[in-house]
Amino acid sequence: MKGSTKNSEEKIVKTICFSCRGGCGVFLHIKNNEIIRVEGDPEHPGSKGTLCPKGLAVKQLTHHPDRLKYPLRRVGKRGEGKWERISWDQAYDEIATKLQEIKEKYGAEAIVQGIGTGRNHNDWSARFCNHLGTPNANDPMHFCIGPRCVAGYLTFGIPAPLDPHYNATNCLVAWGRNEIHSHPSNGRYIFDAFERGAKLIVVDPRLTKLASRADLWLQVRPGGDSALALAWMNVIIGEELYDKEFVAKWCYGFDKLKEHVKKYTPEWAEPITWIPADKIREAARLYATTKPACIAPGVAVEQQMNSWQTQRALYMMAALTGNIDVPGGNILWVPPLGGFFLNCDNDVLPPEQRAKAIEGGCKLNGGHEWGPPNFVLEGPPLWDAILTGKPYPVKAIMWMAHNPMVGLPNTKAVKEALEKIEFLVVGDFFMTPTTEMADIVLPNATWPERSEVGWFTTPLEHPQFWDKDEFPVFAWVKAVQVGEAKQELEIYNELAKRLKIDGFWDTMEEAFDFLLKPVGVTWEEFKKVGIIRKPMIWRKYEHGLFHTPSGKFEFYSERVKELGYPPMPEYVEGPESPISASTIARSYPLVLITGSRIPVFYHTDQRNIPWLREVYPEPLIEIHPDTAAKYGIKEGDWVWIETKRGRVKQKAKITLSIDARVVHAVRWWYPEKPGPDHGIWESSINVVTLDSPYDPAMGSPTMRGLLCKIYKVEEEK
Amino acid sequence: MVKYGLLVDFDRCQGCNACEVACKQENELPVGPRLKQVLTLGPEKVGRRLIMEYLPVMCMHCENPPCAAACPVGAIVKDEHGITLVNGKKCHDTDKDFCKKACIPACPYPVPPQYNPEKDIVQMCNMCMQRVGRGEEPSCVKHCINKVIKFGPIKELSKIIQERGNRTITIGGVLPNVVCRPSVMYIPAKIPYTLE
Repeated sequence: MKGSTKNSEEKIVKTICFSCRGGCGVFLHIKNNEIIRVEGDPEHPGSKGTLCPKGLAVKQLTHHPDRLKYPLRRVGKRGEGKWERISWDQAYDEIATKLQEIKEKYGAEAIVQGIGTGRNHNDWSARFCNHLGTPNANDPMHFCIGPRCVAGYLTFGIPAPLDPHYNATNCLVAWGRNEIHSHPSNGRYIFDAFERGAKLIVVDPRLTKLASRADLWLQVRPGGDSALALAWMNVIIGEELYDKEFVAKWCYGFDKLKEHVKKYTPEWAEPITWIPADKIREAARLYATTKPACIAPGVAVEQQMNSWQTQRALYMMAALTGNIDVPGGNILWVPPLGGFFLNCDNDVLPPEQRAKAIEGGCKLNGGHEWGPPNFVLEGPPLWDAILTGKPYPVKAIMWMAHNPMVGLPNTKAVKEALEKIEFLVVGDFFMTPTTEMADIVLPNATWPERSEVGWFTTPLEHPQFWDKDEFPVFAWVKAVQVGEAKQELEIYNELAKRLKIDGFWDTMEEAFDFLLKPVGVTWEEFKKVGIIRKPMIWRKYEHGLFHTPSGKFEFYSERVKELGYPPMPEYVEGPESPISASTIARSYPLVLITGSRIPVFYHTDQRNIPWLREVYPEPLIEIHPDTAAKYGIKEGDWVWIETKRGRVKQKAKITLSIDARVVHAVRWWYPEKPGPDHGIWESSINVVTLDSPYDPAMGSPTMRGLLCKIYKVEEEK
Repeated sequence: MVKYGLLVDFDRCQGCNACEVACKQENELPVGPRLKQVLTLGPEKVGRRLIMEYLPVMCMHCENPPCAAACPVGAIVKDEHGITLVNGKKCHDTDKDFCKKACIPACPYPVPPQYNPEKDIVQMCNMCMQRVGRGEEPSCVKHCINKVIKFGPIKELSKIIQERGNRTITIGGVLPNVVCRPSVMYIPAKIPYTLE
């Protein structure tokens, strides 16, 4: 027995990393309720024992000294940073009482409830809204993945992305998606494909490693994506490079599309995209003639005007070339259970409540069209309702894992609205610029502190799981507890009890059993197995995949036309570009892009994790050497980046990776200082990005392709 | 005794820094010392192309390590596997005003011995011998997503080098490989760039 005492204190818990949404397999080594180390799980079918830096640094996240450990109630003025500790029971009672009061006085629609990133709680959040009776669920899908889902729904009848299948592809088009930094765990599948000779085409205004290695790098002008996609279709159809059999059998509206794209020649696109016509042709030909080929569509095109129509155009290219749902093409995720919005109970929300959603005229941002709950348009329409009471007052917001003071465009507008909200509840890991504005702050659990049926641990992020032709769902198993942190599901359960609304459970285990029911196992059983697999079915269109009015893949959509939007993708210039806003461009001559992924950070998180911040310590703006010389800027200088909304400063990184007419500023930068603002006004780029006008159908703001000027920060004396 | 080495197939490196953080965790390092680092090379213009590479670098485990030669108390030694090791106690007990951390400037490569102020010692990659002894791979090797870094007996790694046309690439650019004879080797890309 001697010697085993030490070992018996240390236990190893097999679970799933959720430092991003990837869901890699891990072993957590635990001692005295503390993570000692994390190791990759070699048996995990996706990550195969590897991990990315975000997962490897998890002990510094979970056990960070600044973690929120207890519920807090505001005692000073809003945003002043004075708090007192309260119990969970007090927090639940106060939240429930206040929400009930507001619901009775103003109607349930006066309550906005929602999320930022999904920590496996997207459906619970929407479910809570539906049972509460508010149509104003929020989920920032309007500029992240929503356009892909809408495009999917209206084009082939499934509200989900068509994801690239790297494992078997012979040609990869990375379109505004730097996969190796946004989903590092997918990297090996791309490099494996490349080393076996697959062609690589990269559409990106920045030179990334993939662009550097590409057969063709199209350095597109930020905002030129829709023009480029239309020009590709012009070439693919004009030169008859399309898959005639697939198009004839499975597609609707080809003749209209053929006619439609005639005018979008590469020569027409050249001045709009800044890409020579010959190169556009070459790329379109390479994509269309290499089989199978896949497009990796990225968030870059979703943070622009015309977001969903451009994604739709990319799907259309996949259909034109017959690359839909075939190995190595663009394929559709069908999980063993769950999936986007399947557990939201949308039907319980009465139609008259649905109709009240504050959607800013955007008929596609959630709701009635493509299956999810109604989404409030989290931007000017919501802020206006808070500030002016029109179309009706919004009095309360409850956010779980959401930090709009950093994550949403035009920070000043967000702050003005939050200052005026009557009741704000925010749950997160740390005090953020958003929790600082709250009345009640709730401590949320990091992934080692939670058990989950990981249906949102998605193959969506991990197409490589599909190399085994299967879709797994994983069990996350709780390993530690920090303070009184709780996961969102438990919070919703407790609030639902007090609000006397249906749809929730006494315990989380009951909810897990509910989720697992379709596959006939219980949580207790699932926890032990850890994985549920389901085989892939290829070419699902042969089994009725296309749930569209025509039953086919629709190049031309009557439904979109009925909704008042163009039935086929068109070229739309962004609201603030050198082409659309030449007057502004005289004062703000450079094109600004923001938001590229840094592999050590996930969304607004992790800039306070020592091992991660050490890798990327300072906010950097990338400037071409010629531009830097023109403005007298040297490497490492602090530089003001000014738009019509204001200015922030970042440090100059002078590099050939960017066009001389464009600068790239790193996104979402905080914390730099203690609260309440945590220094967001200094370097967080969303202080200067644009929330309006937004995409008229989807509500997507413009965070890529704005106009700015830059100048050196002069030393203050 | 078998000599160990690391082989870096850096064309596959995606610059995700997993190896760097894996190393921080394994060695329980504070902010400051970075035994493993991923450098960005370029972008620079080569022919008509812009080329950018990521390069994972660490102690090169030279056969004749200049750092060891520079240490006045002999705290850096080579073990029987060819691994360069710091004798932590000796290093800790040495007055740094006396030794002036001479090992650091003596290193001709991008990641010289790293000073850890918490322990008052210099540290460097030891190829995770504590893990290798348990039958595991070094942490950076295990966790590297793209399998950029390979660990093993130099004899076996040499086979991979032969498959790649018997070429390795010198990094650092200061001293030729023949002087230091590093056990960390860099091999050229499997598919060369087309420089039209």
